[in-house]
Amino acid sequence: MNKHKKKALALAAAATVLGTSLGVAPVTAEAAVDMFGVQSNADSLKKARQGKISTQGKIESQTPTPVSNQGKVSNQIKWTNTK
Amino acid sequence: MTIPIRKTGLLRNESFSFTCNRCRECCKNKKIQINPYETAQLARRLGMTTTRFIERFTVEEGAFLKFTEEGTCAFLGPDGCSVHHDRPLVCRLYPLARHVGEKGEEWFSELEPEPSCRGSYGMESTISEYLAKEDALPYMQAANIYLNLLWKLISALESQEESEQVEGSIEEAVTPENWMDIDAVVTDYCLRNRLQKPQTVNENMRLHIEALEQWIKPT
Repeated sequence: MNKHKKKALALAAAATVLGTSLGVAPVTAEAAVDMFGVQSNADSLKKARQGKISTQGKIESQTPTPVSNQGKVSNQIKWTNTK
Repeated sequence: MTIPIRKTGLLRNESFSFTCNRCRECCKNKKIQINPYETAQLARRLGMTTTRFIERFTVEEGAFLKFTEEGTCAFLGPDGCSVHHDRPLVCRLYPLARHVGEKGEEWFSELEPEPSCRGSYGMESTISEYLAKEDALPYMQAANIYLNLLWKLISALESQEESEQVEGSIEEAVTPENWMDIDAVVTDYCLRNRLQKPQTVNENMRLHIEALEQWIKPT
């Protein structure tokens, strides 16, 4: 793997995990769009679709689901959406 | 599943009040985001490194707090939140959610409460006062700092894609094993730069950002 690809992969991985911790993720963008369905704001709606909005809040619920690869996820519970 | 929203587009000066009556319903089955600053605060409270904290108490590489098999937050004890003083921002905000855009614009949403929530709502104060009461401001400031880093990271990623054909323009990356791990990243950074590892969370966060900005920056 060349240096560019290696760094790009590392940057992408870092962006994903940091973004998730800050509520910047595709699901968050969708939620933001839903929110703006309540009170619309064109510019913000556009950004929400682009995913460049951080939503900090308890905006998602979850239920535990056993996963087949649990052995690979040491001492962790895997969570998935109920719907 | 996304929690329904009652109102959105709220600014800090809007009327809002909420008094938690400790029913703990909002500590169940909710995804609780934690950024590196919050991880460092919680780790410090528990007297462990962020490396150990992430391993023991988080999922998704440190992005969310772990839940018990019963679906409650790992820190919910018989007397309520066992880390209440250092609880993450999303717990301080509830039942509000905070939104921040790329240019720093900010607004809030009010989440639909849990059906069995015993909290009391009112209009006698403002969102701003609520945030101060919950001591949310330092946490919001830290979230803003990490958000700025995230936007830089995304820009770096985009420019990386554009310059993919230019061989040798980027030096071999020193890739942190886990970006979220302040102690690991800062310890490594201090060793490389012959610095003394700082004691406070804020100083560690400053060096964490500095280390990551250096890593992001193309040469």
